[in-house]
Amino acid sequence: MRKGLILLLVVALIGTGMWGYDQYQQNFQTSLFLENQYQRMFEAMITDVENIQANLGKVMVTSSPRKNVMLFSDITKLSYNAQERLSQLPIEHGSISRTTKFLSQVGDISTAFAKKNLDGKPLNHEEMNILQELHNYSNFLAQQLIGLQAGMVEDGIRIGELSAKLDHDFEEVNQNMMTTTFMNVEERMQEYPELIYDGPFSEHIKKKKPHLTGRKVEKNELIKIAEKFVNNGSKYEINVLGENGNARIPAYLIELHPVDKNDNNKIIMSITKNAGKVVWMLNTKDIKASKYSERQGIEIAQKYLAERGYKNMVPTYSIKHDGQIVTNFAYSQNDIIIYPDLIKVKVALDEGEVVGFEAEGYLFNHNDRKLDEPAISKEEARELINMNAKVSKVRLAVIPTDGGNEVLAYEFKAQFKKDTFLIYINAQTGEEEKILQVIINDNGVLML
Amino acid sequence: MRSKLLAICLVCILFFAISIYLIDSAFAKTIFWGSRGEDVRQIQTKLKQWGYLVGNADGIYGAQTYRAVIKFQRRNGLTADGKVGPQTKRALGIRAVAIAGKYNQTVRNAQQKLKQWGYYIGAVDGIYGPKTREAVIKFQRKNGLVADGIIGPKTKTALGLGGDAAVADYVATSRGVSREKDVRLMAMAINGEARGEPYAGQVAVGAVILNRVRHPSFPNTIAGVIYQPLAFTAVSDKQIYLEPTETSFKAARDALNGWDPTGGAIYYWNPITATSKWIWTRTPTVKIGKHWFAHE
Repeated sequence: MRKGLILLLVVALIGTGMWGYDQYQQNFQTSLFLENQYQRMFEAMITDVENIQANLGKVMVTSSPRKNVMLFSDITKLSYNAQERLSQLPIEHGSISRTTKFLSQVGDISTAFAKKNLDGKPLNHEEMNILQELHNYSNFLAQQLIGLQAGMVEDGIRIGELSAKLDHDFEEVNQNMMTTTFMNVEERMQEYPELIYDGPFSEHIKKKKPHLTGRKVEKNELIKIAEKFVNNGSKYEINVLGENGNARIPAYLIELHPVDKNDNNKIIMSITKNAGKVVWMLNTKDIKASKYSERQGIEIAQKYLAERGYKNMVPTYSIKHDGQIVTNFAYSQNDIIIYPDLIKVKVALDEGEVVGFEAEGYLFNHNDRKLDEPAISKEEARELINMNAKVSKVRLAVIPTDGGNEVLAYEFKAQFKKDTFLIYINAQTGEEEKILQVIINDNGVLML
Repeated sequence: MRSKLLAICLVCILFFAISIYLIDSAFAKTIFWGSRGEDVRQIQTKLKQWGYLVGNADGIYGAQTYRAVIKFQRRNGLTADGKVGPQTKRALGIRAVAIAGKYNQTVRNAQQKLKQWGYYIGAVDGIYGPKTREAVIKFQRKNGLVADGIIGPKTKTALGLGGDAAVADYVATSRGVSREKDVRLMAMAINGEARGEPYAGQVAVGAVILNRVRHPSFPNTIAGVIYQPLAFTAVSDKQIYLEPTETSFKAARDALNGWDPTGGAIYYWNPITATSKWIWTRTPTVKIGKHWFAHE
C-alpha cells in the first residue's frame, strides 16, 4: 500500500520534472530567439550609423549633383532604417527619444538636399556647415555604439534582459551599460543645432503660428460659443476638460451634457483661446439605419458650413463608414482650390445631422492670399504630363508642400488604364510637384 | 505697252518657276547635286555609317556625296544616277517619317518626352527642326544609340514611346490597397488601451498613435508605433489581441480621419497604474477620462 503511494509520488515527481524541463527549454528557446532578433537589429543599426557618417563625409567632396543625389538618398534610407531598428529595441523611450529624432532629421534633411540638387541648386556654405555638424554627431553616435557593442560582448550583456528589468528597478537599469550609453548620447544630442530646411521634420514647422487673430476668450464665454455653434435648440451643461496651450492652435477642450436627462448625446469640442472658433466637434450619438443618400449628406454638410460663416467651400472628396459620411471641403478663391484651408464635416445619414466637424487646417492656414498669375499656361502644363496618362480635367489649386509651404499648381485628373491620378504641375516652374492616386471603393474615395 | 505686259508676264512666270524650284528643293523628294539641308545631312550620315562616304556630314550635296551615292546605288542594284529618290532613301533605311518639315505626331511625342527629360528646349509643335534634331542626337548619345538624329524604332523604344503590349492585363491598384487593415490595428490598440474610457478618450488614444507616426522621435508606421517595445501596456499584456468593440472601430476611423481631441499629444498615461517613472517627468496638458495626455 505504502509502496504504491511512494511509487505514485515518484512517478508524479518525475512527470513534473520532465514538464518543468520542457517548459524551461521552451522558454529558453523563445527568449533566445528574441535575443537573436534584438542582436541582429542592434548590429544592423550600428552598420547603418557607420555608413551614414561615411556618406556624410563623402558629400563634402563630391562635385557632381548626380552623385550627391545618390549619396543623399542613400543617407535617407540608412537613417530611416537605423531609426526603425533603434525604436524596436527594448529601451525606454526616454533614453532614445533625441537619438531617434536625430536619425529622422538626418534622413529628412538628406531628402530635402537631394531635391535641391535635382533642382540644379548647389548647397550653400551654411548647408555645408550643417552637414559637417551632422557628420560629427553621427560620428560620435557611431563611436559610442561601437564602444557599447564591444563592452556588451565582453560582459556578456543580453539586450532582452533590459525589458525584463525595466519595470522593477530604475536604479538597476540606470547602471545598465546600454541605457547609460544611450543616456550619454541623448545628452549630447540635445546640443545639435536646430535644423531648418524644406522637409516635414524641419524645426520651422513646429514654430509656425496660426493665421487666426482675435481677442482672448474667457472660460465663462465658452458655453455661449458652443451652444451657438451646435444650434439645435437643446440646452447644455459645460465641463471644461482642459486647456491646450501646446497645440498648434491653443484651445480649450470642453464637453457638453444635455440638460435634459433623457438625452444622452454628449458633445465634445475644442474652442480656440483666441477668437473663440470651434476647432473641432464630435457628437457621440448612436447612428441608426441610413435614410439619407450620400449626396444629400454632402449638401447638408455644405449648408452647415455656410450657416457658420464658412463661405466658398467646395467638397473635394468624401468617405462613408458606419452610416456616416465624412466630406472634405476646401476653400475656393476665385475658382482656385486652396487645399490647405481644409474643413471636414461628418454627417450621420440616419437623421441627416452633422455629428462631426474639424477645421484645424482652415483655422491654421486660412488668410487673404495674394496669388501670383501662373507663369505657364494650362496647355504648356499639359505637355509636361506623361503621355501614358489620359488627362480628363484640369484646374488651378494651391497645394501644401512637405516643408509646410504652399505652391500654386495645375491639378490634372488623369487616367492610366484602370487607375486614376491627380497630377500637380507647379504653375510657375512647370515642376511636377505631386502625384496622388485616387482609390475609389464602395465607401468613397481615398488618396494615396 | 504690249512689250511691257509681256515683260510683266515673263517676270511673273520666272518668279513662279523660281518659287516652285525653291519649294521643290525645300521639300524635295529627290535630292541631287547642290541640295542642302537636314535631308542631305541624314543621307550623308547613313552613307558614312555604311562606309560609302569619307568626310564630314556637312549637309551639302557635293562631289564626294555624289560619288558615294553612285557607289551605293550600284551596290544595291538601283539606277546609278546620283539622285536620292524615295527608292534610294528606302534602301538607305531612311524613313520619310520624322524628317519632313511638316507636323508629325511621332515628332510631337518625341519632343514632349525630350522636353520632360531636359534634352529639348523649344515648342512641342510636331515639326522636326534643327533644335529637335540636336535634342534627339544628344539623347541618342546619352543612351548609347547611334547618334543619327532619326527617331527610329530603337530611339522610340528608348524614349518610351509606343507599344505596351507586354502587360496583358493591368490590374487596378485599388485592389492592392486596404485602409481597413490600418483601421483594424488602430481599433485593436484603442480597445486594448482605452476600453471603457469616454469616447473622446478612445479617439484621443488613436490620435496619439497617429501623432507619434508623424513625430521624428517615433517609428514611421502605425504598426511600428503600436508594437514598439515598452510603448503600450496592452501590447505587452496581450490585451491588444482581444476582439475590438464597435466603438473602438468608430474611434479608430475618427482618429484616422483627423479628429484629435489632444491637439497633438504624443504621450498619455494612467496616473493610477503607470509604472514608468520617466513618464511622470512629462507635463500633462489635457485630462480625458482616466488618461493624462502630454505634448513633450
